[in-house]
Amino acid sequence: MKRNRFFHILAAIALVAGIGLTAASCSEDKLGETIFPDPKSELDPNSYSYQLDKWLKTNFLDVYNLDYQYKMEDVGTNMNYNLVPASYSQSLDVAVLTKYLWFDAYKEVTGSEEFLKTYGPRIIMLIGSPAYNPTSGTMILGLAEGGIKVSIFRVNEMNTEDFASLNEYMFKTMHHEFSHILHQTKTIPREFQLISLGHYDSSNWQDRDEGVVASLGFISTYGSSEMREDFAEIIANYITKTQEDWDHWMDMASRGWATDAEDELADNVTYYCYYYYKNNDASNGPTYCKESQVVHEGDNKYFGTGKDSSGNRIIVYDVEDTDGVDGVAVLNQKVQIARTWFAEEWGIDLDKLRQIVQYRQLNFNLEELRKQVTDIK
Amino acid sequence: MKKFLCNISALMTLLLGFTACAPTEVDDVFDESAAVRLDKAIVTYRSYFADKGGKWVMQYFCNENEPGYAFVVTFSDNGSVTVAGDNKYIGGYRSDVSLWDIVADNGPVLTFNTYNRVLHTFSDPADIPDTSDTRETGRGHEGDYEFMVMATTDNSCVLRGKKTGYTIIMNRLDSGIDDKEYMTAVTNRINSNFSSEIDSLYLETGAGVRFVVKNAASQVMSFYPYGKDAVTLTEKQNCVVTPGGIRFLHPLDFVQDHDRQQEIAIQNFAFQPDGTLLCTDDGKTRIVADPLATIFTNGVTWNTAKETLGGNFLTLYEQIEQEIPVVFKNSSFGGFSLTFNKKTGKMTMRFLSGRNAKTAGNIYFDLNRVDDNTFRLSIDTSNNDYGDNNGRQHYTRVESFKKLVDLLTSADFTLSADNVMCPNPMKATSKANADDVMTLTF
Repeated sequence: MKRNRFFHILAAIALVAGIGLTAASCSEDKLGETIFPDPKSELDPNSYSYQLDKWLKTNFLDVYNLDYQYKMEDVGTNMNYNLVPASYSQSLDVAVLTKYLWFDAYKEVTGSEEFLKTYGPRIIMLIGSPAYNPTSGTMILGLAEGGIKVSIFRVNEMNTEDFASLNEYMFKTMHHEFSHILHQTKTIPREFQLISLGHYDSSNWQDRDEGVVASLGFISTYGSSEMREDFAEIIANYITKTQEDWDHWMDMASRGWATDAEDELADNVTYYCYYYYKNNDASNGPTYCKESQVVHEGDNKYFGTGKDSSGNRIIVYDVEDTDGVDGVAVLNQKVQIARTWFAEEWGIDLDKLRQIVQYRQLNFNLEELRKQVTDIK
Repeated sequence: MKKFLCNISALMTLLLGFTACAPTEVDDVFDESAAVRLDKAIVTYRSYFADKGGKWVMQYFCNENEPGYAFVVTFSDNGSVTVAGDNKYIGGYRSDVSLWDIVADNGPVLTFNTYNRVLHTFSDPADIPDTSDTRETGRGHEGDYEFMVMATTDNSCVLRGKKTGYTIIMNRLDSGIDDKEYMTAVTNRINSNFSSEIDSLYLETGAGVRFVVKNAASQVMSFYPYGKDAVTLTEKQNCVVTPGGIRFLHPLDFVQDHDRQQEIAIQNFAFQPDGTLLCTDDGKTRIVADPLATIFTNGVTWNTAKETLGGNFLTLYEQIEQEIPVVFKNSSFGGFSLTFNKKTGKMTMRFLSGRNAKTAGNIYFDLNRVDDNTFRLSIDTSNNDYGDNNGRQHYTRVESFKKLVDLLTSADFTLSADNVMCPNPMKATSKANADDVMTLTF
């Protein structure tokens, strides 16, 4: 019994001690300073990259809450690809162009930074090389992931002296990827989803001919790969393509295209929109020719200075458009849907945005833009 | 029963309390959390790499089919890094500045996080110039630019490529070393120690087991046991050359397969004064070349130059220059070379004469190898086989030319070279007169 009492007392002490110890162990949950201090949050004025880091912080992080990553960490990329970082100097150029041609353009068209602060990506990552897909012979130029991150590839190959290449590989890519961000936030109109249904080719788009896809109502071969890319390509090309380039594409879209290749699926098959008959004799069958070989005289077209056995000039004919699609009408319809979507869903005038971007594209002074960074003390 | 349950409950509560406290035992092992320790390691390594001038030589490997590359890497505490290299993929010597950092990954990782033309050429997926378009994979050389920091000492660190997993060694250099001079020293060492003209080298273990080494000049060497089947037993291993020695990407494990006394894996070799390589892992294994007399007769064409001839060789050369235009109108002498013909077993002296010294002639010697470094030439002029027509014409009509042939056959010649692995130049000195010297080059 005595033993029992002692045991009870001991048990009581144990109960109190146990509760006390348990409570004490829980007291460790008090929040203290973070154990993950961010050493990047403080910019070192003595660092080699201070000017660019400071400019990015001031112009992207502070304004748009956007982390502009040009110092590449491979964990931020698809490790299945071999990729390299962007160079410092190219990163600087792309950074100022990103702001001028993309962020400032949207700011101008919407009247404030709020639009991109709300809907813009949270991360932009620059990657020096393309991501190659050797089996398909394609390369990735940009990625938009989860509505928050845009990756721009091929930065090291950007040639600031070559507008056409800049437009194709950089400016268009920026707007293309942002279009993805936008449609990842608000759905692509159903009407658009149905227009080119049945004409997409996700596995062989890279082998398709530009004339053929234009005639089918696509703005690029990549746009013919799938509906979402079609949507992003329509917007990006409409915004960035010069009027001259746009008109040229629409001209291609208005034509019929044919090839004399026996195997249309073979590599490097050429398609033509003109043909003639040797010696002007239809029994010889059509011989296809390129625009550069055709002489236009009024409404007539001739094959260079060639003549038939009777001394008559060789007449050139347009290839008949047999794909059953009015390419120009489809392209215009797609632009109109995008125009309406921008206006109704985002309150943005797509044509005004195009006008602003086109002006900026053709009138930027890279040296002056660079000074925003290099003048930082 | 009720009391019993109550007591048991109390004891279980006590045990629960101890259990809840158990994690604090882990905290006793490390004073701080893993995150804090990693952050401190990052700060430490940022200082470590840039310390003492921040100059290192990196022994870089990008794959197993091409040589390793030495780079001089200079880390600055302002976050910039200069990488210098000298190889065909970067167009010879090149130096470029980019950024570096230590980042938290699976432990501290050294990253070269903006593009550097020297280093990232080997990570870039773009076209490799010397592969055909059909072999392009879109993956480039497959090299790393992010490295896990595995181990460090004051002046050496072991990195591991994040993608390849290759071990990359960096050794600290004196901050006063000039990058270009260092890379020139590397190139000179490669050129002076390895040549495609040297057919074979040999790896010899301390126990005397021997391997034939092929393709040393490419630094992607092939090894097979001496006297055994090269086709089935060849092992390939690439190495990187620095002025002090070579390091193979992986230990030469096959050596232990053929030499059971070899207990230490061999991977690192240091250049010796004569150019041979001594393994620094076991202090015994060597990479050596054939004896000079063997190299002399391996079919290489050995050229001579007037300015490097000595004694009677120079005297006779000058006499030939004067005599040939007298004997053969409008002709001049253009020098001579020696080539051993393995098929005929003859040493051919090929000389140039005629108008503008463009006509070749040949004299054929018998060669007797006296020892590893000594040879003797002889000639039988009793029939016409000792030379071609032009050779015989010069031998019989140009007295000084005949004297040169006689000098070559008058004594034994000793071969010597500063670098026996790649004896270029090699000297042939007459045993009869030490002044009679030919300097031979290929």
